[in-house]
Amino acid sequence: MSEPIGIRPSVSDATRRALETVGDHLIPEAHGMPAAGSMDVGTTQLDAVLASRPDLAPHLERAMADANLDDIGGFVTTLESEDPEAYGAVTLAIVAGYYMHPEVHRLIGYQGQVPKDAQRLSEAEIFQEGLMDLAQKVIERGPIYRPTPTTEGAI
Amino acid sequence: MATKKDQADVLIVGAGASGGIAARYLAEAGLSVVCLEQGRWHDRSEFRGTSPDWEITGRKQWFPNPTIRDLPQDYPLNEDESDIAPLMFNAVGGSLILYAGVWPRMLPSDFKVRTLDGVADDWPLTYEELQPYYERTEADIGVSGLEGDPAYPPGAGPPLPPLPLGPGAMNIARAHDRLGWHWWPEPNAILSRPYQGRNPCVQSGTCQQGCNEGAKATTDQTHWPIAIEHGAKLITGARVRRIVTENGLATGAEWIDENGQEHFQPADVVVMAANSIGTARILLNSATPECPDGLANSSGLVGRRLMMHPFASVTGLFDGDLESWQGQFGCSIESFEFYETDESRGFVRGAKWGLAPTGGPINMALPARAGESEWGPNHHLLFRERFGRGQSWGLFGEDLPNEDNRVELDDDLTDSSGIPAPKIIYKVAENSRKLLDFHIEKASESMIEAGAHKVETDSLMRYSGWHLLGTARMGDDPETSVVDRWGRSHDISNLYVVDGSVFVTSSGTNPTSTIAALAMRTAEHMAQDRFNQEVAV
Repeated sequence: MSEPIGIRPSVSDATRRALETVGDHLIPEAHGMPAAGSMDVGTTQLDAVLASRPDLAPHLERAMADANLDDIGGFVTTLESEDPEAYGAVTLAIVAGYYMHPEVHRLIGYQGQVPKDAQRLSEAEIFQEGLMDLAQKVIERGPIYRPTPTTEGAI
Repeated sequence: MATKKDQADVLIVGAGASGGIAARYLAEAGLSVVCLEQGRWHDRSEFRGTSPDWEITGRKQWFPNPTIRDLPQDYPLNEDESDIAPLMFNAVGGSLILYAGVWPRMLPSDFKVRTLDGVADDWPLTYEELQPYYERTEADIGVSGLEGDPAYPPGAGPPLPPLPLGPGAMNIARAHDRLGWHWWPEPNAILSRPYQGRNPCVQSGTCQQGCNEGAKATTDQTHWPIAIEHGAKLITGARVRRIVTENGLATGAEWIDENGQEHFQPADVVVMAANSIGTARILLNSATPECPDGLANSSGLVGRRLMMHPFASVTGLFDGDLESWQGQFGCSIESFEFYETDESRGFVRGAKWGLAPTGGPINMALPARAGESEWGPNHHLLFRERFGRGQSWGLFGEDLPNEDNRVELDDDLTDSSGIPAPKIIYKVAENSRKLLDFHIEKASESMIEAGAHKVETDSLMRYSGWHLLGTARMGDDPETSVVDRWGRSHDISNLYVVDGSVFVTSSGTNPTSTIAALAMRTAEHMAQDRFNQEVAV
């Protein structure tokens, strides 16, 4: 690919701190779930995100360069309207860092995209109980394709 | 400098779905085949489906829009005047690398919309004429599905049993049963059983980021190895600048390699297989003083009648855990209940529905389809409501041809080789808008009947232009079509088009199965007719 996975672009400490602060605003601790800042969205998780998406780094730096973190809600609203690309990078970096964290995976009951045992979708999985009975009822309702000058037998 | 020994019987431009199929059948027939492909081979280990970053690389490096992806092998698109952003992938296997693998045939009425509905144009061929090619391509690639769908005339069904519906789709199938509405297991070009040395689906839900198992059919697996075994030569990193003609016949193509070196590939016959944008772009770039409006364009229709299938989605959220980040992606079931014209609805034609899972956690927090993000404490509540609990109807509305929807050459934009890039001009028609609004309402009824406690809709998804069709339509009349019923240019008798450009109308179905069937049909006709083929001396 054009941007090799594994290269970690530099993001300033100030941007990292700002990202954690904004992250805590967007995804706060609530309803049994931790806040984004406590899930390393400005540190190790950000490194993981940027390793895969180095293109986000300049947008994050630009977004956070003039961030007024005394009014985070106002900052986020303004960023969304005035620099949607930077807003997209900030929300993606926070969300991705959060939902790629193993602790968050544990809390939401997600184990990744787990392949089923290779090779073998069982007969019971393919022909689930009731499938063929339901399909038979569709057949019994008759053809639904529209006849054309060369098509016989349709309704 | 090309020499006589470099002369190919057939030069194919593009190694995707149609190019791969044409190459196999032409090479098997004993013709010497050379293919120029601007992309490269991809090893399945490159795909990110087994990595935690699959959802974020799927929004950039593996995103299907070339402007966002911006890889060296991509060409940029000016999409400023298009309601829908085109999607494609440049590689051996082409856009199949990232497609969903959904493989329905067109319906009989799709070939006769002028006769039946008084709109657009009839195709110069029928469903029955194409049916044997549908059946053979389904066997070639290993389609999984269930025989007997009453939405189609009788005939051979898919070679493999359907992929699992899972609890979410079974629930919606039961809802359609109560409503008396059509549903059927979706035919997918994804293996439910081991087939011809390929692994079956493992239900990991990452089909559109590239299939790590090789269970999803792509011509780099299904057709190119056979074509190469029969002598076909595939040149990657080869960007075609223009088709060269002499005395009204094609003589080959000028192309540029990855180092910027220019080449000429001579051939007796040229086959365009670069998708409906790429093919139109190259033909327009091949203008000469004799053909100032582009090659094969005496009708003025090259690049025009672009169809991209306006796409809407309706997502139902359910109480139970459906693990809806897993499964084929791909579709589980389809519905043709409202496919045919009913004039009382205020529009003509219809849409096919395909039911898909809803994706992983990042996609549930930042939805790419229906739904908005929620921030603050309620973020967690909305996430919990969505994650693993959704099913999504994708609605492909039939897109009627309009000559104003078109591919042009941009005045300023070029690719990295300096070749003029396409400009896309495309507006969603009033008929399409009414059609989608009706289908959104009906698909919402489907979800509610199935027990959804909440329904989220996306009335027009911008990044949904998978189905690139119509820019070199087929027909019997050279004044109103670009190619004949065999894909042969009316103007240049040794120039063929085998990709979706030849579509007369779009149907409301996923078009790859029809592109594949047409490519096989054209290739076999070319091979059978080879001794009558006029070529440049």
